[in-house]
Amino acid sequence: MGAFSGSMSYKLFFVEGELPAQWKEHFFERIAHRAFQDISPDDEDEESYGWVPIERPLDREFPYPSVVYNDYLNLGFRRDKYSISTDRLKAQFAAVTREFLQQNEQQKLTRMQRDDLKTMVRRDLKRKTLPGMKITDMSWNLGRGEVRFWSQSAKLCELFQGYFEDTFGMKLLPAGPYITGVQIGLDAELVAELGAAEPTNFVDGRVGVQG
Amino acid sequence: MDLIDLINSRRFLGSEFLTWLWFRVDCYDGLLDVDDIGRIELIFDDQMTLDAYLAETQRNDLRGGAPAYSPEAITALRQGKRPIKAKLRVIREGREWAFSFKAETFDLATIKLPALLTDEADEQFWERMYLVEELESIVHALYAEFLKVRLAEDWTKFVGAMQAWIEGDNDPTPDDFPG
Repeated sequence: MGAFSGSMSYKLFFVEGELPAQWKEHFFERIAHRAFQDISPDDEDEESYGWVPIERPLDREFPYPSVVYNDYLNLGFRRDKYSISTDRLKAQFAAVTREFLQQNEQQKLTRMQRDDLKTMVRRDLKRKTLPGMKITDMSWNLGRGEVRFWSQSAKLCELFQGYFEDTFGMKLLPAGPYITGVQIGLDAELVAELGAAEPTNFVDGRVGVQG
Repeated sequence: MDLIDLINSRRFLGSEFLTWLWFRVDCYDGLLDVDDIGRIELIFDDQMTLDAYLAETQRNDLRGGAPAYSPEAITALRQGKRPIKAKLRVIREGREWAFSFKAETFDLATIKLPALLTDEADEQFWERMYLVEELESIVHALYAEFLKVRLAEDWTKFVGAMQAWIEGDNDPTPDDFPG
């Protein structure tokens, strides 16, 4: 959802620095390296995330025309996550524990047995379900140095920001009163003032007060 | 102060910007001449949230009608609260955008764009991006105008004028807006 259709709610980031000279080759290599990898029930990790072609989340190839639209680099950020309810996990673990103790004529589990059974129960439950899948569009205007990420979830935006920076080696700065002020071309003197500004109280007319 | 501290400690400027914008819209009946943009019409629409800065008070979440002109909003302003989120409409050269603006993060949400002219998917993408970037340019131009007065010595004149606006019962006019 996002870049091509649907709701227009997004987080704006400013890209710090200039594009590298050989950005096309460099970026496509990095995107392929950090493409989404399916998660397996046998994996210890409960989630997996990475890049997919926009509007084709099951593909693993990144043909140039599907990624770069004139000045825009578009990708989907796919995140798969297993979600097993605590109650189901507890109930299943209790049943397996009873069976184990009966078969082995034990009164209670050792710590190692408990850990092994928990891992087994979790893995069995993961095998019976598919991980949840969420795809969020990302659109990077290369000329303007602006990235729009179609989510405003603080947690997802933070995850995306780190993944973007690791992939492309460029830092993202989230829009907001300070960063936007710096990015819209204020002169150096005003930027320094921006960093030193204190709150205004509009009721009693004082500047530089708390509330 | 490092960058993270600057980002977090300057969030209050977002609600000051929205308050200043509300005052400006009220003075000029929504018709604003903006540097590098030209004339726009800006309307505070049917949703507004007001909260106090740093104080533990009840948040006012106003929906329906025209909250910016409601007694509840005026009372909240007089209690020292500020708008932290508002639904806005912008009209420029016959095209209209509607969107929610979150003051602390500058997030634009639930944006309703002007009608698209093309049916082609690729063309629609570029048109959507063009319209979104145009909206951002308008918001950023307004913010630049705010910062130029906010960070100058003249700010005390605005604070005085806005204080009178908050306390007064009469509709403000362009003469009430310092400039």
